[in-house]
Amino acid sequence: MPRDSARRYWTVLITSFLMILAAIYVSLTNGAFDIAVWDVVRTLLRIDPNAAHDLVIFEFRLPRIVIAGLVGFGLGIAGAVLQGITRNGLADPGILGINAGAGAAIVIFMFFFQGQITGTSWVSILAMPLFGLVGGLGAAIFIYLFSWSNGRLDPQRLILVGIAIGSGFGALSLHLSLKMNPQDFEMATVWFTGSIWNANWKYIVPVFLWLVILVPIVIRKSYILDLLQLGEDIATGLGVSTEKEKNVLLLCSIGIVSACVSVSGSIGFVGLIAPHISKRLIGIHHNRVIPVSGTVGMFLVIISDFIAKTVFSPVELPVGIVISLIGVPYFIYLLYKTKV
Amino acid sequence: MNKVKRIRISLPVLILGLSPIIIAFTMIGSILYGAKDIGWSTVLDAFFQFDSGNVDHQIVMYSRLPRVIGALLIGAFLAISGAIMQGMTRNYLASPSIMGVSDGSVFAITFCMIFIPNASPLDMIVYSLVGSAVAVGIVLGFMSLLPNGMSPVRMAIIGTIIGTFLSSISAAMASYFQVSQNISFWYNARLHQIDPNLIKLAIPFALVGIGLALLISKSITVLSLGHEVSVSLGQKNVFVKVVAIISVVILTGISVALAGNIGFVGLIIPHITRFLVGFDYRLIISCAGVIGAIFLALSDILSRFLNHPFETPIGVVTALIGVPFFLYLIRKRGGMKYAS
Amino acid sequence: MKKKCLGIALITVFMLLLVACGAKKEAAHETRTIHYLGQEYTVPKNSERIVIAGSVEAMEDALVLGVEPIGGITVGGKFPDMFAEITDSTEPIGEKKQPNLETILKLKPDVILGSSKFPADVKKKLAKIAPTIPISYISTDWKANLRVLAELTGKQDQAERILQKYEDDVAAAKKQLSERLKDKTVVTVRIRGGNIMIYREDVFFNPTLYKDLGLTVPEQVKSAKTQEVISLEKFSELNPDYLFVQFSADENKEQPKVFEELQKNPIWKSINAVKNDKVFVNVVDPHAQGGTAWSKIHFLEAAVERLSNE
Repeated sequence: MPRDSARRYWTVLITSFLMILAAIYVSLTNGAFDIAVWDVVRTLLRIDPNAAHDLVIFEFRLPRIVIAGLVGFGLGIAGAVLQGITRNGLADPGILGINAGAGAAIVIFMFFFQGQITGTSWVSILAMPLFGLVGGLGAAIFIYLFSWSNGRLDPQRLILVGIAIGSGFGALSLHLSLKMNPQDFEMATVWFTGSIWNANWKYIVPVFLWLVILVPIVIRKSYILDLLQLGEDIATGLGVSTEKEKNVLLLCSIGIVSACVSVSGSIGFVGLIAPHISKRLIGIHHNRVIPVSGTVGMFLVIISDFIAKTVFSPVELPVGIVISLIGVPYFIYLLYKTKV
Repeated sequence: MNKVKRIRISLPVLILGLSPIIIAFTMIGSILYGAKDIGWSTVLDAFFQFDSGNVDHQIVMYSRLPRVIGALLIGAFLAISGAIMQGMTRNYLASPSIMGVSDGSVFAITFCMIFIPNASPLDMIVYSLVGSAVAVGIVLGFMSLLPNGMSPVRMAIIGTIIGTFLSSISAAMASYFQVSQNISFWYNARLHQIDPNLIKLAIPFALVGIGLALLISKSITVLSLGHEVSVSLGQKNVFVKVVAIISVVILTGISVALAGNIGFVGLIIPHITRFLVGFDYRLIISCAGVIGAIFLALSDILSRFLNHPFETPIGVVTALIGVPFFLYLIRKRGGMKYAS
Repeated sequence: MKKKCLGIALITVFMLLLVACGAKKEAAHETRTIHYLGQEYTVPKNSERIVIAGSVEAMEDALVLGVEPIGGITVGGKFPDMFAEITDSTEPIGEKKQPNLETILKLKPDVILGSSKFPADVKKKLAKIAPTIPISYISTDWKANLRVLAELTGKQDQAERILQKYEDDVAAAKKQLSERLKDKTVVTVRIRGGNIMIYREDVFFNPTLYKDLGLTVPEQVKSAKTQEVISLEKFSELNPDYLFVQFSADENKEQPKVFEELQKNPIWKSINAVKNDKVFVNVVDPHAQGGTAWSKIHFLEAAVERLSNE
């Protein structure tokens, strides 16, 4: 079956959906607290509910699965868009400095405010993601400010500015984090390496909204990325208003990344590897690559989070690490198989 | 346009010509100013009438002198290897760490901190070097095994993902055994611990590494023009790449082992140099070396005063100076096309 | 596209379901109120089953009072040796920063001692499992921390005796030492990754030295913000007469080589404390947090012994 046939696309997409469902099933029914499969079903269907089961399913397991899925989906898509815009296979959401900006904001928050915001109201629960979001968007504004010139957004320049902004914010977080108490630092590393350990429904709503609004736009505009691969001059020649479309796509992916990073910390690697995997699977047409990157990312993060919390239970591994532990060998296998 | 052209011709000469004077001034400044006040005459005495009982003399000879020499050498090493990597892979995002050098070192050091906590500082340096070499071996192994692995794009991708893989494992171990902040210290606050004996050890390696780099600098220029061009000019690409990689490994491996992970210099100094001197890698490599050396030594002086009387991690200082300057260059000259 | 809509619809249905049915908790039978740092907490009358999550400080308090928690914090997957006395039958519930909620639920605790550093949402989830008291990590709250655990386990008398003894010991030591150490510099540092780390006067073991024993606070200690790296050069200027060196827990072995290496360094050798053999390494377990009853008692004892020797 040729790599870019429509049948292959649907096969891959449906397979990945089935794998996601399987991953959800596994992570919903397994954990440190023993619940029989039948009890899980009964809890979900509200037959004879039991407080402990409700707590495990609705407060501990489901929010993690949903956040993992959303974040993986978002980062996979954003990665595909960024690699398309910059025409650089090494670009991932982290390269733009958004992760670093959000990270610095969180470290500032921990360094100066943590311990002072107490209580369990909406505001204090969302304080950390909000800081992350502000930091990520702040970095994005910087990036725009510097890479925009004469009404053009040059992809190479975008990458360079991204590196600079990223290392600037990175240095800021490093500076503060080394001054922290060892205990505070451990808290900060949880965030740096990315974790969805403290997922809850209040995080899910905003991320979900961002994705619902932005992802359809990205998918609708994805054909532009195919044209951009031919070179911007050709794309312009074909009657695409390159600058405007590129901006829309870039802004959408910045939004997606900021939203994801703000709730989960910088989960690296999904954004880099999901698009590569999906290109190996179904070819280079972005209107297909983008949805598949999303589902691949979704599957990767859900299953990795499950592994992260189960392997050394009760000790948790950072989910970003598990992703790369599974992602890298598979990717190398793909590289080995396809000879492009 | 005219003006720009004139600057481009004269700048490399200017940079190389003035460098001995600037380096001399940097050294004097670095020896004179430190956390403790030590006067001119004491410094001179320390050089000419060394008294091992005098603390100030010991500080000058045992702490400040090795520190400035270390900073100069490491700055040069990192900038040179960064320039080679970017020329060879033709990728803006390529830094020395792309070959897995730093990731291998981090892996070895993490392993060593957890399982061989009794290692002496010298042992750690040896482990760091071994780690770098093994990681580069793995990366090179995959490059030669995988189809088309030596093409610039694949080289960069393979290096990046294997590096990520290794650093993920280290991060997992570090966070599991709660040594993350110690590792962070090992990598970020080492320049002020440099020992004269280590410098003596490093110099032979340095000569070999820099020698190789200069030897192949012309071939790198050809490589940076693209595969077809270089083949049509009859260049042995694989040979050049292998030599380049050896030189990068030596230079970066030593730097990481001696002074920790000062990643910023290797990434940004080559860019800055390219902005200043143009496309010829003979000029880029030598100028990058000089600029990198001065830059790191000056940053090191600043690191003593930013948070006086305490030390500031050198990576923070390099970012603090480098990022704004880099952004300025991008804004000022970003419209110009330059080597890609 | 259709598939995606379906997925989104599915998630929405799930969420609606959830909003409809929040988890309800049945009220505990008999309760009492505990006061801690200006807050009131309602806990079951019999609170024997205690889980300690996130607060190593609480682990140390448990050690002082001889309380065996049913669930406790591990470091690197196991309980540190210093807690061996109280962790015989304790179930590990994960590392300090990320306790495993399902494991805690499985243990059916009466009370959870959390950390005031947990993010708000984590506190809320813990509170759904059992009443949760967020133990402060700030060292000035050490007495309150000890007392709250004592009140939960009915060991108030023991706690008061321990606190009183500390006060007495401090008073005695102060009398004995204050004249002798008036113009001496006493410093506590930690060595991490080969760096000398210095701490602010109210962090780590410093309150015992400077506040309780009333020793002079050196300039550099005053200007530190929490934790700072100090170069050997500056450290030689600070030139302490008595030096307490703690290694971080993971580096601790009998004779750390990093330290041997340091001892060869001519600048280190020029320091008074080194010259006069007044450097004391790891006088208390390096896992000790510094600002708790256990750390303070043991550090005071060790420090007074070292400082009073001629």
